[in-house]
This record gives sequence, structure tokens and C-alpha cells, in this order.
Amino acid sequence: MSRWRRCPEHGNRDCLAGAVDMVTVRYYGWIAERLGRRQDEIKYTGPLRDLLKLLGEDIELNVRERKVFVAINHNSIKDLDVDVSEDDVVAIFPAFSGG
Amino acid sequence: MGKVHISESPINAWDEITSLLQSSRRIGALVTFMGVIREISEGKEVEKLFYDHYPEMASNAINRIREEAISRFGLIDATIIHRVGEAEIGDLVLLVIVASEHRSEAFKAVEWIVDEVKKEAAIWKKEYFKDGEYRWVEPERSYLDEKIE
Repeated sequence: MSRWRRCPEHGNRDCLAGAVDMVTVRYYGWIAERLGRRQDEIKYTGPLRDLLKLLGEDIELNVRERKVFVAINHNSIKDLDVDVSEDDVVAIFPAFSGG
Repeated sequence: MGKVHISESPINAWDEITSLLQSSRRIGALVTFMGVIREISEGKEVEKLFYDHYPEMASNAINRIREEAISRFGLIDATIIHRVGEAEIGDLVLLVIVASEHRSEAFKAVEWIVDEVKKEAAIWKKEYFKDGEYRWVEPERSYLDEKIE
């Protein structure tokens, strides 16, 4: 079971009020633009793969196909079978293009 | 004193150069790279750029690059500053300053640092064109596959 809270900006304090013990999912680059939001707060514990499927928009498929990438607590990961637990920060982003 | 900074404000290159230059009397070479927004991209006129970034990952990566550069090239110190948010044509968006005893390692280090920042820092560039179109810039090659465990 999951419970959602959608936030237009990362760390929006009004949006996050009372959102304790929830997984934070941040979006960056064209992914945030396509979704129309920067962040979700989700009551969730379980495998990363299933969390990505919950997010919709073919995110899990795009991660598997290496079109987008994912990090947990600011570390990039490839293994989608790792568990995500409350208070984790999951980030979904395209390939880097800075400089 | 060298540093790493991700800045939403304009970068003052001369202040940073002076600060690094005054940090050690061992410095014999100071090499600087300044990445600037150009007017034309892929044949189209650019109006402005926007840089999105993931603060924790970008900062971690750039700190790691600075430390590795100092160790790998035997540098005295280094400063790396990346601009984020909106930037206009001619704005300085990436500043790399390297201080060493001799020029050879400084030149090599600057090129290595710029390449690594482009590959490793969690920053995304969006180009707005004067004709009203825009695009998120895709790297020619993603290095994330090689780096991720």
C-alpha cells in the first residue's frame, strides 16, 4: 500500500509538513519537466523496482533500458532489487550534461 | 585557498584567481579554464541556458574530482565552481583554476577536471533558443553505465 503527496519543488516546506517516515522521490532535468513536478512523498517500503513501477510514466522501463538513472540517498545504483525504506531519498534523472 | 562551489549567482573569476594565487608561495603556475555560454549551438541562436542540478550528488562529485586531481597531478590546490540556474550569453558557467609548481601538470589537470565534471556532476543543461524552441542537452555518451555498481 502506498500514500502519495506531490510537491512542485524540492523541499517545499508547506508541502512536506507532516510528511514524516515517507520515501522522497526527486525528479531532475527533462523528467521533472515531463512529470510536471519535482518531488513526490510516498509512504512505501519494498523493492526499488516496484516503487519505480508505482511512479508510472514507464520510469521503471526507462531505468532498465538505461535511458534514465536512479540514485538512493545520493548514490547512483544499478540494482533495482534493493529495498527502499522510509526516510530514503530516491532520485530519478537523465544522463548528466553539465559544463 | 581552493574550493568547490555550486553557485546560482554570477562567478567572479578574478576574485577566485586572486584567492588561490595568494594561498601559497609555492605556486609557480596557475592555469584557468572558463566555460562560457556561446551564442550559437548546433546552428541555432541561443537566448539563455538553464542548469538543473542535484545539489548533494553534484557537490559530492565535484569535491571528489578536486581531491583526485590534487592527488593525481600533484597539485598545490584547485578551485572548481559551476553555475546553476539561469544564465545568459557570455556568462561564465564553469570555472576551473589549478595551482601547481610547474605548468605541465597544471595544463593536464585542468583538461582532466573539465572532462570529469561534465561526466560526473549531476547537472543538466537546457538551451532556450531565440526562435522560442528549447531542448535538454543530451551528452554524446553517458558514462553513468560504466560508473554505477
